[in-house]
Amino acid sequence: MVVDSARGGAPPIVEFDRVSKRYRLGASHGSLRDLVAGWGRRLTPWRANEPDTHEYLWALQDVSLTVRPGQVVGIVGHNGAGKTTLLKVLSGVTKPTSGHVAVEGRVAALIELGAGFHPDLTGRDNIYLNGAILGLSRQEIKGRFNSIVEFAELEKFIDTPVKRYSSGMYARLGFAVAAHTDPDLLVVDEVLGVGDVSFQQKCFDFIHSYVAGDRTALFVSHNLYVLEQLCNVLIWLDRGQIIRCGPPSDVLPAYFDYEEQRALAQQTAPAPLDGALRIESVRFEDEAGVARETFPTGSAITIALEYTTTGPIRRPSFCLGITNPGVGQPLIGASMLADGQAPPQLNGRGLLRCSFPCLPLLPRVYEVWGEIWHEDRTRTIVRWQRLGRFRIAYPETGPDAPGTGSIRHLRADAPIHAPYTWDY
Amino acid sequence: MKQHIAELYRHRDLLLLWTLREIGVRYKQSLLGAGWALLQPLALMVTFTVVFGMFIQLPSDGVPYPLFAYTALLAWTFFSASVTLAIPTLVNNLNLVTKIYFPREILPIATILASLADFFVASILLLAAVLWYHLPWSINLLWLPLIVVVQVLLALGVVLPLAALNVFYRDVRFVVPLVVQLWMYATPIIYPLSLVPASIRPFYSLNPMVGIVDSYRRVILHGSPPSFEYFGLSVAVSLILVLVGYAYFKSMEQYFADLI
Repeated sequence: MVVDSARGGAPPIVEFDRVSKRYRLGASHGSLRDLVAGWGRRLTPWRANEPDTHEYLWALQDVSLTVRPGQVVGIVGHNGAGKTTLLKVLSGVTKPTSGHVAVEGRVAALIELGAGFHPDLTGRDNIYLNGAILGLSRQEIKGRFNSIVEFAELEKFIDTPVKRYSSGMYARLGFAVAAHTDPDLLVVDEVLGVGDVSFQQKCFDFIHSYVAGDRTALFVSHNLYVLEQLCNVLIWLDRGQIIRCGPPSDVLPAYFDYEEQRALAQQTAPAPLDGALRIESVRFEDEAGVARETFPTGSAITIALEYTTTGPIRRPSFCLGITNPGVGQPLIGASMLADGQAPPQLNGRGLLRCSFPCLPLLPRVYEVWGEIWHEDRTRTIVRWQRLGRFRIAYPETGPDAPGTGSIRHLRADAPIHAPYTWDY
Repeated sequence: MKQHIAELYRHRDLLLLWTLREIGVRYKQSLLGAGWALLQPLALMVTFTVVFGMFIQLPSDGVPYPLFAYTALLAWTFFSASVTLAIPTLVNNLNLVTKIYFPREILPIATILASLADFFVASILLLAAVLWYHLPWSINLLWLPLIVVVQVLLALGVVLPLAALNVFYRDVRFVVPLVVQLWMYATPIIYPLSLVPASIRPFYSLNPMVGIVDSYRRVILHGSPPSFEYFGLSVAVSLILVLVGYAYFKSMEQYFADLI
């Protein structure tokens, strides 16, 4: 798979050709006993060709990609998908097990801010040292020194040993030095969450102006909305392989789709609670009464609860809430406490349904939580808990098919879709 | 090899700054500061003078024993400090090695260069002693820079392969101080080379520190040039060690980040 948009003609800054990286799990280095056991072979332990009993992990598998000048590439994927390994191979920290990596020009990799700061040295000394580690000459650092200090807002503390810095000051200095290395390729690994809010804003402003200046960059972040804003190419890595790559509008929906499938797969039956009333299962039905997991936005959904009781229960009050995953704070509720209804009596096994004729939710995975109150409405029979998950997806076609709006709004902001119009 | 040295040269500013860092950090927050660089060989010299010079009355080639011992201790202190401090540098700076690429040999080399700075500080005392004892100035003192270069090459030749090996086998860290201790007795520091039986000298002089220590004594204390055989052997052994050691270091470099 090849990332290839923007300026096809320019020579690539980065080229990965079927790059794989393997790590050995378990003990990473031997002891003298191993050394004595097989001196000659053990001097080159990684080349040992005896049948080995170690377990291996392929952090990258057959990854091919090209980054050309002017491209801003984002990498998405779970923890352990190989994102950091990819950056390490790219920046030369580690060599691939197989495949070929070609990098043209200076790469500034912000894998960790302030790596290499020495606590006993002053901010001033550390600027020089860190700048040199990132590949600047002393002359270049001297020329940018004032600008670095100003960016980091550390004028007053520049001759203080950095061990007396707060963690925010430390990160600011680290970012300021890295931001001034003026690289051909800026690589940023999840380091933007540093410092206070105003400094974070400064970092974002810097990166925005950097990206706007037709520069080349590569970002790794869990914040997909930032990546959507910054990048013109996204690479989705999973278990060391490129699953998909292309413009964010192409990759992100596929990524979300996959994420939601995963979330749905965690579907668990409600925890069985000892008590007079138990919820045995929860299912979601469409208008025709067919059980499904995924519904188009704006469609009717019926939540069907199957219960058993150990004896007759008079007038229990059911409360259900539709929530964002994991939160338990309802976005939409249906409460017998509020509407005053209640089944006259439940006894034995039965089914209770709650129907929403139109659920105006935007596409993502939702959870249903519920509780059941005693007739006296002062204590619960079943406490507030997760009952199940369902998913809202876009219809493939029709007037509600996906628009061109930002995924940020559609995926993160207000999930309830009330009809509206604009006037301007 | 050529491209490695070219890459090292491109990073010369980093090497310089890292060396300054090593020097700066070494004596930060210590009262004596650089005085420690002087105190270490000085304390050993006093001890040796009392024990071996006065009690045992070892011969010292007709030179006052303190001067005899201190000259050798200067070179030895540099060597032993280089080896013990520089070998663990890769492991000690793991957050750098696993996060940022730069030629890794910069870390041990900077530590060796910082030890060289200590060596020069401690040399001031030798200079004072030379003046105090009214030793003659000789044209042969011009050999000194070359001897210093060889002693640095030797330190590099020992440190580079062992620093790389230490990444894979931490045992190295425990073995090295022991070996350095034994090595001192295999070098004419306490006693003169002339006490070593002629029959074992061919093997004895394979120790490259023999030629280096002997050369310092000849040039500074006796005003004569270094011995061709002893010093020549030191040069040859040091060069071989540094070439092989550097090649080994560079071939292992790519595995450092994975194994630390």
